[in-house]
This record gives sequence, C-alpha cells and structure tokens, in this order.
Amino acid sequence: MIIFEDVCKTFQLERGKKVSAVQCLSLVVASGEVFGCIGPNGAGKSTTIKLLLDLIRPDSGTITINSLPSRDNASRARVGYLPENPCQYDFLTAHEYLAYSGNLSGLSSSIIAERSSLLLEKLKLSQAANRRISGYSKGMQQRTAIAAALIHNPDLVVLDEPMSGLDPLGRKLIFDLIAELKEQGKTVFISSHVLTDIERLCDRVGIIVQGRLCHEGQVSDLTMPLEELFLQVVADTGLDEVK
Amino acid sequence: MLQAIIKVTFLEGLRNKAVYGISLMAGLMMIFTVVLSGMIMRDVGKVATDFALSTATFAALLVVLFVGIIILARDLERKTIYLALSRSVPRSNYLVARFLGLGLLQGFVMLLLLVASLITLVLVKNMYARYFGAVSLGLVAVAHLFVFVQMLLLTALSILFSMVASSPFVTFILTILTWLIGSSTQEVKLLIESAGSDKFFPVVKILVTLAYYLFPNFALFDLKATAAHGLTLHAGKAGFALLYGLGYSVAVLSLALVLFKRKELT
Ligand SMILES: Nc1ncnc2c1ncn2[C@@H]1O[C@H](COP(=O)(O)OP(=O)(O)OP(=O)(O)O)[C@@H](O)[C@H]1O
Ligand SMILES: [Mg+2]
Repeated sequence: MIIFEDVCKTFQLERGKKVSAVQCLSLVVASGEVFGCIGPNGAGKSTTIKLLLDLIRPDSGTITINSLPSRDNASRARVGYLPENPCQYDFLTAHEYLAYSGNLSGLSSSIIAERSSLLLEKLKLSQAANRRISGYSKGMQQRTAIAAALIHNPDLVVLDEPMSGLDPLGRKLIFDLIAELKEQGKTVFISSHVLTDIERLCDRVGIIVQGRLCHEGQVSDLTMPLEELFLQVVADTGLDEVK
Repeated sequence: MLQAIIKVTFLEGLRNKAVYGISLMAGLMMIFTVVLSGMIMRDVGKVATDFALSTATFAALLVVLFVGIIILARDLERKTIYLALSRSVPRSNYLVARFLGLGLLQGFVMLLLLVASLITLVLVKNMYARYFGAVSLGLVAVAHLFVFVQMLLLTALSILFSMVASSPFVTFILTILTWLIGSSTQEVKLLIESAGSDKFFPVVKILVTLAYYLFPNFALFDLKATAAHGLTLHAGKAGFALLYGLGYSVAVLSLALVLFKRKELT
C-alpha cells in the first residue's frame, strides 16, 4: 500500500524563481490496485513518482510504501520502476543489462537467466538480446527498460509513460503485460497520456493538474469517457498553458 | 549487488573508446622513448625512466579525466542511476561501488602501463647497457603503484566535485585545477622558504602555505627522480605517502557520500 500524506515539492529555478510541482498531495493506493495517474504536461506526475522512490525529497509531508517510510531503502526492495524516457547502459547488451538489473535485487544467476529469457521472449527482444543497446531503436530501448524493471518480479510496479515510443504492436504487448501484472495481484502505479489504456487497465484514476490532485475515483464509477472527464477537470482549473 | 555495480563500471571503462586512445598514445610515447634513447649519449637510463614514468602518469591522469569523470557524469545526466537507486541499494553502497569500479579500471590501466614501461626500459637497457646508469626497475614498479594511489585520490576528488558542480565541465576544470595546484605546492613552498623573507610579500607566503595545506600534496607520490637515480626509498616515507593517499581518499569519499545522500536526482 502506498500512502502520500500532504506531500509538497517546490523546485528552485534560476534567479530565485520557484515552481510548485506537487502541492499538498494526499493519496492512497491499495495493494493489488492498478492506479492511473493522468494530467497535462508539467502537471507533476513524474515528480510524484520520483518522490515516491526517494530520488527527490518532499519539502513537507510523508510517503510510505507498505508502512515503511520512502526514505528507508528497504521500502524499495520489491519495487520495479520504469522512468520516463528511460536510458540504459548502452554499452551493455540487453542480456547483460537484465543481469545487472537482477543482481541489483540480489537474484541468483539461474533465476536471472530464467526470468530474462522469459521477459525478452514476451517483449519480442530475444533476437536482439545479444546486441549492444546502443544499436537499439527507441521502442526497443523502451522494451528493454520495461524488462529490466520487471526482472525481479516486483510487487509494486511504477511505470512512467510505459507506452511512449512504442508501435501499436509494442503497445499491445505492454498492455497485455500490465493486465497480467494486475491478474497476479501486483500493485501498479501508471502515469500515462493514453487515456483509453488507462480506462481499460486501471481500477482507479487520479487527475493531477498544476501539482494538485483535482479528481480521484474508481474507473467503474465513471459516468462519461475518461477523456471527457479529463478535459472538464482541466478546464475547471482554468489552466490554459503549461507552466 | 556491490559486485554488479563494480563490474558494470569497469566494463563501461573498458568499452569506452577513450581508453584505447589513451593506451595507444601511451604506447607511442614508449616507442618514442626507445627511439629518443638512441639519440642521447649520457644518462640514457635516467631520461628513459623519466619519460616512461611521465607517460604513465599522464595516461593515468587522462583516464581519470576522460573516463572516470565521464562515467559518473553520464550516469547522473542520463538517469541510468535510477535503476539501482529505485531498488533497495543504499546510496552509500552505490557511490563506494562506483569508486571501486573506477579504481579497478585505473588499476588495470596502471598494470598495462607498468608492463609497457618495463618493456621500454629493459629494451633501452639492453640496447645501451654502457650508458644506462643506476636505474632501479624495482623502484619503477613502486613508482607505478604510487601513481595508482595518487589517481585513486584524484578520482575520489572528482567524485566529490561532481556532487557539487553544476555540470561535468565544471567537475573537469575543478579536477584539473586541483591536480595542477596539488602537484606544485610543495615545490613552490620550498622555493619561497629558501629564497629569504624579503623576496616575496607576506601575502604570497600565506597564500602558498594555505594552498599547501588545503590541497592534497601530489608531490609525495612522485618517485620519478628516486627511480631514475636509483636512490633508496625510505620505507617510512613510502608508507606515509600510501597512508596519506588512502586516508585522504577515504575522507574525500566520505564527504562526497554526505552530499550524495542529500542530492536530488531530478
Ligand atoms: N529538475 C527540475 N527543476 C525545476 N523544475 C522542474 C524539475 N523537474 C520538474 N520540474 C517542474 O515541475 C513540474 C512538474 O514536472 P513533471 O515532470 O512532474 O511533469 P509531468 O506531469 O511528468 O509532465 P509530462 O506529462 O510532460 O511528463 C513542471 O512544471 C516542471 O517544470
Ligand atoms: Mg512526466
């Protein structure tokens, strides 16, 4: 279970300017739930995720993962993270990269071999697995990053724009993969701009605009298409340009 | 987990084209040393030793500047660091493993340089045995070890700088400056002290003394003259230099750790 409690984050810009990227965010994501985090560009989705993973620290408020504070390294023992615009060590092959990823979570080499061939197979990367990542296309790199995030079979999967850079086939693959995670009872936190996917995959959605959680609710309770709701919520905040 | 990070760091260094360029340059310099030795008649051994050790030091310095700094900077800039830190890998372990990986790379390069230096000197010795002089090959090997320790210290310093600098370029400049100042303060201090008190303004004296104590003293690790002249290396002095280098590295790395733990990885 993830709990955000009154989390605020302000970035200092040049010449004393400030941006409040996340404002008083309170949010609970239950175990086994697939939560969709949507919002316009610059709304604070990626910032929220980085706060959760202790890559950046909140100015105030607390975040816990399974009742461990996010500042505790142990809270991330069973977490898989796909960053937005992921970049890998491109001097490695996909095989080597997945082995590195598995080693970071202390997997044995036999489990790494088993899991990585399974994931490479699923993500249609087996053919390229022994080539260096530097020669991969954008979509192949995205797939590799997803495989690396899942190698240790994490209980909490945090995906920041998992569909970016993927072709329709790739999107279908990832869609099925997330659906499979859901079936396995994993907790999934997705940020995405592909609202149709969010609508079909998620149990609950939160709409963040200008750092504030403006709407939160079960997908099954939606009375209109998510896109319409999204546009309405954004219009209500009076936002007409990204900050 | 530590091992995995060390291994990846080492591999990144090895698969980096800069390492090949630097090795090639060092190899050419060593060949040049052999050729040059044929053109001089006196103190061939001294000149060759000085050349070989200078080449090794320079090549090792380039590895710190163009491989070590780049590896760390790229990791932060391209966010590849997220993979490890989004797991339960403590930041302290990550940084220490990175340092050890770079140390391993440096050690590997140093070993290659040592082999190249020894081959060069043995060649020169066999070709010009009568003019070779009292060069000690054992000391040449020890001199390489000292260069290695010195580069570990410089690597630790570059890690510290990369925690505060706004860009890799700034880290690069700070590291070079530290190297230049740290290699010369001892000499400048001796010069000023021996010149008599009326030659320099007191301010200069104070500044030089300050720099001497503030910056690491890299001159401690320079065994070029000792090896070239076949002088005795006092165990006490050598031990002090090694302890100084390692102790200083640990201190600098600890400070870098404190900063890294607080760093925002946006
Ligand atoms: N390192 C940073 N320094 C300064 N401001 C930042 C930094 N990172 C993010 N911001 C600001 O914080 C706000 C939120 O950014 P964030 O990346 O979280 O948006 P997002 O919702 O992920 O947008 P997108 O859909 O475009 O990915 C933006 O206004 C952005 O300008
Ligand atoms: Mg984003």
